[in-house]
Amino acid sequence: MSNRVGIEVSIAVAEAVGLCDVDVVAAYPITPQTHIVEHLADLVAEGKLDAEYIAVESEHSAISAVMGASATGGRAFTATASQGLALMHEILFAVSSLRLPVVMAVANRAVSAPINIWADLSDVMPQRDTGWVQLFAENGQEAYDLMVQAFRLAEDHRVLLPVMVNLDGFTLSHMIEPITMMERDEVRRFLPPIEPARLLDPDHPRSIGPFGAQDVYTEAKMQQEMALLRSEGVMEEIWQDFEAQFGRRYRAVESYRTGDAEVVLVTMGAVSETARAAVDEMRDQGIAVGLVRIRMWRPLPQEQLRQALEGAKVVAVLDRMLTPGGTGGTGGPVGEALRSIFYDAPVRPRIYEVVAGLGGREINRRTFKEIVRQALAGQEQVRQFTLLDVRCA
Amino acid sequence: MMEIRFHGRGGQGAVTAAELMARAAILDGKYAQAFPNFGPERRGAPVTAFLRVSEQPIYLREKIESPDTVVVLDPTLIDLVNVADGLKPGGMMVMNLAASGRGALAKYGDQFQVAAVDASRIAVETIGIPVTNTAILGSLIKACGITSLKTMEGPMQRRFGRLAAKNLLALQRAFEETEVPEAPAAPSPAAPAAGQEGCTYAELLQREALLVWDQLQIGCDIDLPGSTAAFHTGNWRSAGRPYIDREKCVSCGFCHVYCPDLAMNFTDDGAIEWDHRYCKGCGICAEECPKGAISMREESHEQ
Repeated sequence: MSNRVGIEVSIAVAEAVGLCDVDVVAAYPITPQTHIVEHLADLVAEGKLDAEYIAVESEHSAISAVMGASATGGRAFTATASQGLALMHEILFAVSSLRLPVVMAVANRAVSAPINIWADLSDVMPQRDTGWVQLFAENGQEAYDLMVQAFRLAEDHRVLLPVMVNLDGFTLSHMIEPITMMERDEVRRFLPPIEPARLLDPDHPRSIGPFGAQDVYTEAKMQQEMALLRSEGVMEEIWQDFEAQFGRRYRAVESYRTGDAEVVLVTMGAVSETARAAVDEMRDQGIAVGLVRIRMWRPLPQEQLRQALEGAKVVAVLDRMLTPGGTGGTGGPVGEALRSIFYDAPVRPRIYEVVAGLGGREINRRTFKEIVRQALAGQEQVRQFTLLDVRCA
Repeated sequence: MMEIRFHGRGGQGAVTAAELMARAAILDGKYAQAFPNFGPERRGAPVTAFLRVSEQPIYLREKIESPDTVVVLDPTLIDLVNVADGLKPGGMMVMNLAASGRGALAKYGDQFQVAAVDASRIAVETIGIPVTNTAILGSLIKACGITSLKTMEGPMQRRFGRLAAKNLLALQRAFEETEVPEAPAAPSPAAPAAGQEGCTYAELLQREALLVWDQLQIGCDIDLPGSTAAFHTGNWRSAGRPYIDREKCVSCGFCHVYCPDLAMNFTDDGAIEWDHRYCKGCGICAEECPKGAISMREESHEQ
């Protein structure tokens, strides 16, 4: 408890990155991520962090610079959001395909147009298939802890993949809240110095990123995919170690009051705490409702999710991004994933899908109560999803 | 349906040959497809192109694995690639072979029907350069029919404009000079081509020396520095190579500086030496030599 402080989550995230002894930070400011890299710039400028801070001219350059830094064996970090993440898109594939253990924080924000700076998951979901490990934080403590865990996962030689830590823009990134801070020597014990699997070294030249024609590309993708799937188990080991050292327990999928639940809400990110509060209030009213939260989105912990939702009559899933044009069949990526997981199951829950919170539209306890009310009422969805609270004539 | 594979070198017009033939067949009211083996394009590198011709609509978008006929535009390819790979037993080979180079006939004559023509000589005599793609089509028409010399006029006119007449002459000459022998009496069954039905997965791995996914280096890296040295771009050379006149050479090193492939190098005693492994035969060295000590001449195969 001695190190429990009230702190803005972005600043805490930057402090965590600093405690990880990163060698290179390259970033370009964009709301609502800016405070993270601003604070890292301060740490470097004040001599508190012995790292190279590269002020680049765009996010495309930021991710390219950390990719290069990682290839030389450095521990590298960047952060972005929204359009900035979209601009990185091309390079995200290269970082994961080259198996470089970069860590990035994303302060999730809607993408233009109309221009909108508030939280939803429209920035990260189009990056779903870039081959990165993708984690979602629920609160400031978690965002802080995940940064340290992310480096350890990325650098594990069984994984060697970049990791993206997502935290909701503003509702999480700009929140002042209590966070138990770690000590530098504690972090060093948990996260050993980076041991690059291979690196760009003039004394031992090698080609990283060569041409790969039809005869090798498929095998390269297979190798990468196996590493990504393996990362689920490695993350579990890391979380056990973390609990042993710091006493805080993390899982890929978290269940809350699902035991006898008739309807189970499924959420990701910071809205999950509000959902939990709503579940408590509904339980007090005698409604058999529970909550499943997805912390690890890629690789998708399919078996854990299936088990967590087994026995529910209705699964009410909240997506905070619309999959355009998929609306006849699906609403958003999480709903789509759940339908897919249960397709082969002998007993399938009804899946009630709601898309809400777009462009930062408020999601509160009433939102979750309304979702549960609709789901339990057996309301037929006109489409296979409901765009909650959309104004219609 | 007839399936034909063309072997040539980048820039020799194998793709154009397949295309001209397809256009002619389509003019005749048939169905046809012409397509290259898609990939990085490099002048002089061995390339393949494909042609299908049928009386019925064609519903295939795959490469040709078991051709009825192969067409070889360049005799130097015979030592470099297996031009008979997957060719049906008793299948037709239309080959550009000089009268002196008919040893290839013996190599393939037992298994296949080899129609030979000195297309390089015909091309030089009619068009003025050794580009054999139009001449070899005359031989293909003689050997396999497919279309007529008459029908070829339209596509050739459209493709070559004012150069069409010379190319049509090459086509006509090759048609007349091509000898088509009888089919071999008892062709032996062909080995299945790589990737073809009958070729097991294990055989394919072994034949192609391919790595399975977990044998690849992390991220598909290559840990051998300068590994492109293993890539012998000298294979792309077809139209002659530089010969150095030691009497005239003053070891100024201009050829070394200008050579795009570092194929002209100094020996330990300061002389200039030609490296056949990487020379593409571009002739820049001969052009730049201030002493006229380098000349480009046809390569003798004994060398």
